[in-house]
Amino acid sequence: MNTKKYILKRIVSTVATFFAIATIIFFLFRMVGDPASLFMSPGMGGEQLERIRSSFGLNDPLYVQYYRYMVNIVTLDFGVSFYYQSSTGPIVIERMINSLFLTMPAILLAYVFGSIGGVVMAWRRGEPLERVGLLGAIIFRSTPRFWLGIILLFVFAGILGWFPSFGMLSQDIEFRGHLALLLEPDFYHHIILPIASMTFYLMGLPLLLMRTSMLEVINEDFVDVCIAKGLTQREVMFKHVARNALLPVVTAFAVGIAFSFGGNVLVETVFSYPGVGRLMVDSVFRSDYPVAQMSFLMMAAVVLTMNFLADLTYFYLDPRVKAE
Amino acid sequence: MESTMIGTKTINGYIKRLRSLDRESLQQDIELRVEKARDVFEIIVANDLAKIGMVLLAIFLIVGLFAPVIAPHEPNERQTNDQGDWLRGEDPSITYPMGTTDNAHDIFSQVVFGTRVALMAGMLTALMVGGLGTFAGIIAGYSGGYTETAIMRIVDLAYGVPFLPFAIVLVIVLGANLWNIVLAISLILWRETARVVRSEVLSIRELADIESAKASGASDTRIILYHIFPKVLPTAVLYSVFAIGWAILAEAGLSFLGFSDHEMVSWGSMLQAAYNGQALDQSMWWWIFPPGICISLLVISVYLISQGIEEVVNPHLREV
Amino acid sequence: MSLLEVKNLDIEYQTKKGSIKAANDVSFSIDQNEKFGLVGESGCGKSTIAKSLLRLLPDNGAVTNGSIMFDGTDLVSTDEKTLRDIRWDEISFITQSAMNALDPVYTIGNQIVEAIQTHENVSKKNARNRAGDLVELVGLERERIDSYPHQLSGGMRQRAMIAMALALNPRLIIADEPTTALDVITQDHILEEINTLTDTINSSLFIITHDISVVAETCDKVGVMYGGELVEVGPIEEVFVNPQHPYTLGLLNAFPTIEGGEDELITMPGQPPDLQDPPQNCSFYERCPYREERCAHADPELTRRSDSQYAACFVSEERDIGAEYESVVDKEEVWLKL
Repeated sequence: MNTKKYILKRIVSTVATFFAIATIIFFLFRMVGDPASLFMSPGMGGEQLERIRSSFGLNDPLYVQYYRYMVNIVTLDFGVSFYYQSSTGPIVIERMINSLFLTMPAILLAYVFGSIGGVVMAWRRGEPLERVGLLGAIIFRSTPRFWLGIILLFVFAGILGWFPSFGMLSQDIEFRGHLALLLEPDFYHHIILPIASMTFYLMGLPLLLMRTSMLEVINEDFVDVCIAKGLTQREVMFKHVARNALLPVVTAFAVGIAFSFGGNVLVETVFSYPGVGRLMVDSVFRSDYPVAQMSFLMMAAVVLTMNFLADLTYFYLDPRVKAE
Repeated sequence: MESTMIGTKTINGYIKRLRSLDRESLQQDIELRVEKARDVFEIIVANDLAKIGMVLLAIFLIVGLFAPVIAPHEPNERQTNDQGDWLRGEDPSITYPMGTTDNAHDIFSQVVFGTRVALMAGMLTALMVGGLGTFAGIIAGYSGGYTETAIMRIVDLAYGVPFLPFAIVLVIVLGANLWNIVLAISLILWRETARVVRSEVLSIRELADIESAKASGASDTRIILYHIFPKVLPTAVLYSVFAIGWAILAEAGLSFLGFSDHEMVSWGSMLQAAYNGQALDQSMWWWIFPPGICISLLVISVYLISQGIEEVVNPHLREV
Repeated sequence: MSLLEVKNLDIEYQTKKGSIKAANDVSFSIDQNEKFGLVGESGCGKSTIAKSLLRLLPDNGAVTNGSIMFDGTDLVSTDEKTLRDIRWDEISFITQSAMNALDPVYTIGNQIVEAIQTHENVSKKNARNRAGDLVELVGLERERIDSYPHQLSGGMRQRAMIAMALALNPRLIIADEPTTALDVITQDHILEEINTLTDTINSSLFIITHDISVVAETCDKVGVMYGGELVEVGPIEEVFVNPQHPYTLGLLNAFPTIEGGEDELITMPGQPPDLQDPPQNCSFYERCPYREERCAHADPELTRRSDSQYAACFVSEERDIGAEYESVVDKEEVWLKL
């Protein structure tokens, strides 16, 4: 299979998967009957409820609703948010980018350090260092992100007072777009703790996976040949064993992003960070149906895109895939 | 006439011999299985970390099982002093080993009862994920063709769904209780088991004894039950054990966000109460630490055991 | 002086069930330009010896006694740095199956260039040119340097492996079962290739194989291993014509002769000795049709039989085992005629 065909095939299946997920979400919300009832609060009168109904188009037949829903997805227009009283798209996209700013550094740090740690653990097989690493990896994986976040807040924001305890920016600093945000030191001051609590949790998986994968590759004949070639241990480990062992870790990277992105809700909640996960949960509580729905779909889109990119990376890293 | 007599006799003798052989081979078979099970157990126990995990898990199981005996108070019972005032935010003391919450609940009792929720969430999910994932994986790998494609598309779909948000939506739709949380978690997590089991079945399918079983006319059900299932079992168990860890963390997360049964005290809901109850600002460390440490320790115990099981599945990991 | 001199080599593996003695007091030498074949059943310790030369033993294996002198350097005790310089530059290595001997994620060219650049200070372009020359030398197209291992057939991979082994004109090439995973015709070609190219670059060759015909085709000298011990060693013409150990004799009769003579083939049923608990007497005792009372009680040492032929057998010191072959094999029925 040539590269172009492979990429095209993956794009098609990614898009198809996205629409399948969108369909599931559509029916899931309608499974319980009237979605408006989910968002009904005691103060709402019959007139308001009717307005919600008609704004959803709930009096139309299901297929019309489904069609409209799909059109909405394609045009990235989910109508007006009940809570914000403005178009849903820009709100969700802004929060989305906020979340990406949090997730990307965390996951990159986790996988880079996790992979290197896994190499070292496999290299130092049987030594106390391996044991410590193994135990560390398990502890990282087992500690809930949100709890670690609370502890970090408690110690570094509360007791020591080194970091701010909530939000993305201090209250006296105005948000002026995402580019300006990247140049704002105050922003970095705010995201260090949330990124730390995510990174530690996310690092467990690559550590363990890389170690396992390395231990499998180390037994291959070509490793003996590499040593026989006179390469240093470091060269053999990093250039050959790790390079081969990386493949399953790349797959995990994709799944890791999916997990991490969904799990952002927790860290965003602890640090009151204006991310898309938090937005979805808030919208659910506020009965802001359009925003909740679009937030979910945006997250799914990111997860799928990441899976797609990871597949491409895998394709690039393993010459054998290309041959198939 | 005589020849048929001899013939019947021989056949009877033959059948008798076959029967005794069968019994013998059955006994051998059982012995072999017992021996194999013992080997597996030895590999797991040979791993020190797995041993520690087993002890830890056993402690949690005992605490969960005997929660009403161990806990000095009902988890939702207000603690009062002699005057009948609520004991809010008490420091740890002999009466309240982990102190009290700002709503005057005994934290120790809550932690003890929370064990039950965590264990239930973990074990129920493991059962569902193990069952659903193994079933889907075997069917996909064994039948191939359209069935396989269809199942693997659903697996792809499950991989594309953001885990926690999906669970949140599902719990909102179905109602916030433990069963629905377990269901929501399982609906996502089965994907990993299915994927791994399928790829294993694909390689098992090529083995000689499957071919010969097919050639001798064994039914598909028989081949799956007797030839394929036993071989994928260790992997299925491993991924079910992984699911326990995921499930406990996910349940805690959902409870922390407020999506849980408010009648049941769980470690996650304790942390939610602590976080919302300004435990941080009031430096009520005794409220923040115990539930989190318990979540960690329980999940750690599960992952430590999985390390041992992984050595069964993957011999490369065993130390020589 | 010999290029390689292995002396009293003991190698042990530590396992959970106890230690395994994979090589027991093994001594042999390889001269400059000499081709030496080490032959024996699988599990007899021959691959262990090959690996020990380049210090490639797994973590649980170690040389417990003896020395491996290579041109004045003891490969057992020398430091890592010196050893790294010797590896591939002076001693290169062709492994069992070329299937897994090449790193799947790098091209053939990259892997040859890596070998060259590790030991010589040459430009990448220069090294690539040399890689191309080498690949052509072993009979592949020059473009193959840009292929990944999986794009080549088994035979082609083994050729690429040979090209890599020749890259630095080593003084000794170790070939561990170089033809095992290949089909019969390719086996012959590859063997031929190894044979002639070793001569071309003036290198010595150390072949490890279970197939005595491979030795017959390529080597000047042969060592026969059984149960971790070297039981016979000497020049091909002496060992093959006048074997002094029953196991050698058995091996020779277990394969059809190259000339296609009408000798009867035999098999040697039975298991090689348990290396975890090596016998105190002659290790071949259980499977030997010539065995005598004394063989059950003492372990024979290598003794000199002719100019440079040595064997470890009490029986052949006094009896002519070749001449007695027919009658002994008929009478004892330890070896089965095919």
